[in-house]
Amino acid sequence: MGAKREPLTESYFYILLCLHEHPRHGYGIMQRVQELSDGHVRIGSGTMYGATANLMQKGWIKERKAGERRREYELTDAGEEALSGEIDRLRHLVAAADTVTGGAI
Amino acid sequence: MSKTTKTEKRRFMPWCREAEQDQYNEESRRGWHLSQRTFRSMTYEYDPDVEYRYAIDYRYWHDESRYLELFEEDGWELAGTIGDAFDSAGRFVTLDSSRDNTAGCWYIFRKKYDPLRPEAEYEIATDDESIQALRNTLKRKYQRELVCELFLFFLWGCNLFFSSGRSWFLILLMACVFTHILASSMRLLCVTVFQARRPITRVFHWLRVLFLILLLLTVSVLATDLVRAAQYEKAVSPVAAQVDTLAGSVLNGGPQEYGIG
Repeated sequence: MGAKREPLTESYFYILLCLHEHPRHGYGIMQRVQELSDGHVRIGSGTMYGATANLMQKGWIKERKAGERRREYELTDAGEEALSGEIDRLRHLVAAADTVTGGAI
Repeated sequence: MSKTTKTEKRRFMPWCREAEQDQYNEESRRGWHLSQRTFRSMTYEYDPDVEYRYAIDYRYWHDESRYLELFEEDGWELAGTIGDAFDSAGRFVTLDSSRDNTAGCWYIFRKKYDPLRPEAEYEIATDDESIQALRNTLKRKYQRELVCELFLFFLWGCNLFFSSGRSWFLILLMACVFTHILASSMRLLCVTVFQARRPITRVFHWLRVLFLILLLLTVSVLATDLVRAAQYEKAVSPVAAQVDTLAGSVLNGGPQEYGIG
């Protein structure tokens, strides 16, 4: 079993999830996050900048130039691994909850 | 449509970020939109047909072009920047004009307000992590500034204390300035970074007021002393001149008159 990984924050999880579909611009990620969360989660520009900087530092996403000035972000293999690890963790949590409540809640 | 501008003199107070933002928003509601901000003044442009919402952010040594691109994509436009360095005219500016890896800088953004859109659209930090990250950046900034101030005052104090003609008044003056700045910095750290409760902030507030009063008292005593010395000099100088003349005449004429030498 690998080293225990810290749970991802909601913003990080949604950003990785959006990039799992295909590479996107920053604003494209913000819009997709709102769609996926039914408008419950909104990532502001300041939060987006900090989150993408941290994710690039971790090596989970990388940026590439798309056109004159705009940048696109894409998921790396390490990012895919982090995302699948988080999805597994969330599945286990839901399974444990179902065991206890019998799926009644 | 005629456009008018107005300029107001007011210091930029980043430790009251929300109050600054509220003021810009309030002015914008009245049709006056902030178009330029320097450390000491702000310029507004009048246009009653639009309304903006403002947001202030701080970043330190970062990729500015990527940062601005994200904001632009989200509908924000840059209304002003106040960097941590001075230019030749005494205004705060960014250190690096290439706009990449820019030094510490405050950014003022604005976005056109649409009452049909949710209020969350006008927030730039939307989770606890990014709010905490900004707080940590500010904490490091104020800590760095505090260390620099302490070091400078330590050097000044050493120079004054070990110099041959040291003045206790000057040392007291220095101590007052030093404690006043220290208390101000601590208050700043408490308010912006630690989000401290009121009592501790009040303690630092009264400490800085106390040492400001002490500083003024020392300056007034020093000034009175200097005025008295000048008056004494003025009163004594004619008498001293007479004594000099008398002594000169005695020394020059004396030997011949009394047959000395």
